[in-house]
Amino acid sequence: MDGMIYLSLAYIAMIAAIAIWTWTVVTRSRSIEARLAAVESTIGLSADEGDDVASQSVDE
Amino acid sequence: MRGRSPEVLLFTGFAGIATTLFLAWNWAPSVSINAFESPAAQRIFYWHVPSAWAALIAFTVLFVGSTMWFFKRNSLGWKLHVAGSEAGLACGLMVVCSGCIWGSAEWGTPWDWSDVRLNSFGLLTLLAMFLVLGRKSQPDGVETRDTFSTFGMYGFVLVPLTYISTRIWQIRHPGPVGGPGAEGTIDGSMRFVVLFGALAFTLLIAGHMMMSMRITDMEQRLEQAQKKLDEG
Amino acid sequence: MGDALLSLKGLEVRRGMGVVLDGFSLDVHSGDVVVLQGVNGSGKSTVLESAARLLPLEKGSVHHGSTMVVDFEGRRHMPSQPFGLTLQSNGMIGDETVEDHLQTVCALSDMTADLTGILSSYGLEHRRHDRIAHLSGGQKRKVAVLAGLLPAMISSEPRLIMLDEPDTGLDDNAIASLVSNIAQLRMAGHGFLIASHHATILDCATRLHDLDGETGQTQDDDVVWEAIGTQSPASFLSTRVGHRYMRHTRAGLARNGLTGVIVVGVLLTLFNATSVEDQLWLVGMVLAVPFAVGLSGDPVVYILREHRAIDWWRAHVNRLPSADLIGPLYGVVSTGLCSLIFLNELRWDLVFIGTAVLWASLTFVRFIELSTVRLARPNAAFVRLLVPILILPWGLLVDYAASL
Repeated sequence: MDGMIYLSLAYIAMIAAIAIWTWTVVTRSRSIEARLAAVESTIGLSADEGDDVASQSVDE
Repeated sequence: MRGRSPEVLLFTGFAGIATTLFLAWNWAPSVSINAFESPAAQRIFYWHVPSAWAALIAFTVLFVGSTMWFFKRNSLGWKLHVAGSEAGLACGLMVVCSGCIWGSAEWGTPWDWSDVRLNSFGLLTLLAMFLVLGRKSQPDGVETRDTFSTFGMYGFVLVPLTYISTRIWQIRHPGPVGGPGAEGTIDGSMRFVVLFGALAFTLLIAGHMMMSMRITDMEQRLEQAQKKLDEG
Repeated sequence: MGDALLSLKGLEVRRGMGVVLDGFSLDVHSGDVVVLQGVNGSGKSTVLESAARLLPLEKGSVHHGSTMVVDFEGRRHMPSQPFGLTLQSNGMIGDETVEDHLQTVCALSDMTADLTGILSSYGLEHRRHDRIAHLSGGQKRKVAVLAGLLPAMISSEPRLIMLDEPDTGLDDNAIASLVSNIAQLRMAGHGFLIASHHATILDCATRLHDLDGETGQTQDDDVVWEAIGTQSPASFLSTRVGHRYMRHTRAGLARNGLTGVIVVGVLLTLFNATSVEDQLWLVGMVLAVPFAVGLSGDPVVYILREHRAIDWWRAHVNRLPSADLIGPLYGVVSTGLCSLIFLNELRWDLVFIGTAVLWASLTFVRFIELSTVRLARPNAAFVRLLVPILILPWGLLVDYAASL
């Protein structure tokens, strides 16, 4: 039965790790979204102006 | 990218993984006690194999993205590179950790330096860690993207090596359980749990990669907007 | 007029997040002093570093004389003629002496020269045998500027000289010497591309360029520089300089040698070699030492990271300075000693394998470190995370060596 207890602990640790990772990513996305909305509304920038590094040489 | 599909995929994938683990713990049949040193630890396999599948998807996306950036300077390519490396790191760590747990219980050692698949997967994870940590340490720019996309392409030689390793050099690692070269068959309900897990991990990893691409996109727009603010 | 000493044709160059140069073209001919002026961030250094082959081009090409030296497709060729370069960072190794550094610059032109006169004119004659690290900031800058001017000073053929903010940190006397040298060298037919804000440097220009357009200036100098160099072919320069860096800095001993000693010490602490009977373990202990020494990386690459010396060298040569003999030497010594310590006999087959292990691991680490030189912060790039890729081949080699 010891084996099943260790397995349960491992499963709990795994699912917790995935939950924390997923939650961190979602929180980060929401935080940047809020900052972006605030800055873009200040300067009236359109949503199309994206990657400055790539946009000037791609698709020529 | 403004829709909520990444969140839906993340939630569905997470629920699917939780279900997989519950089925693996409670429903999947036990293996023969004689065939394994540690029959309970064998159930790690229901997490290990699907996360390895998801990691290979992530590494493939990393390679495609790196190639698109390196040869075409394609903005989508860079977003795929970022998404693939982050997802590859997370899934790679899951595979390596679960493998170590199983190895400890079954082989008596968490790591075997002579096992090609174990090592090639570990190296892929280290490559993803190098790409993620290295990228965060550098300012974004064409030099950074060129350098890391080059390493993203170098690293992909490990993916086919990882895939074929247990087919060619089976040292300690068990052979494949599905696909060409698979050894024998596994029980129907075991197969169902593994496939269900693979589907759940695929949904989760797709959600994570879409989310990562959205974040990269927003970070670039934020940088642009802040630059405009700097210019007054 | 023949070929320009430097032609920049339709350059598009990116740095960081943006395009710095877009469709930029410029020619520098014999007798030109082109001074780039403009606000910070306008792209002056980018022009110089592109001309020196240090930046990849999105579009266009750079020609030195009739030779295309770099283009937007990544083709790189060595300039057919040597050129002078002073970057914003001094690009020098602190453990070099002033004399050694300047003679290395001469050697890049296959020449040698008596430097007494020019060192005196910059107030450095008494410092010629001092290490660069022991000089003041202004004195270091003088040496870096002299290193940029030397290819023209020693040559009777027209040479291209590129100086990025040469006046930074120089006192008034040094700037007067610099301007005088520029005028005399211009009269001797050499061409200059200089980035500067300094009024005195701007005054000595024949063309002032603000990266949008240029204006001409007339100069009435009449003193012509007499070349001071004599021919002296320099073979295996990269190898010789690499070994000299090693001798002067002791970096090979400090990094690789000490690593080997520490690993031997740890192994001797953990294991009593006389009681180990398994051949695999014994051979593994012998080959662990050259492996660890190799993984410490190429000490010359480490040295070259000082003050962008690596960029200065990348501009001038296709093959960076390299201490080629350190791999075989350390391999033979470390494996031989370990063979005596752990096996009580000198096994030449193991010495051969250990030397190969050390050389291969050193070369691999050098390769991945050089792959990140373009990054803004190469030291922060976590490249050592990739080193474990060597453990599996090392393990297979130990397995093979134990079977011998």
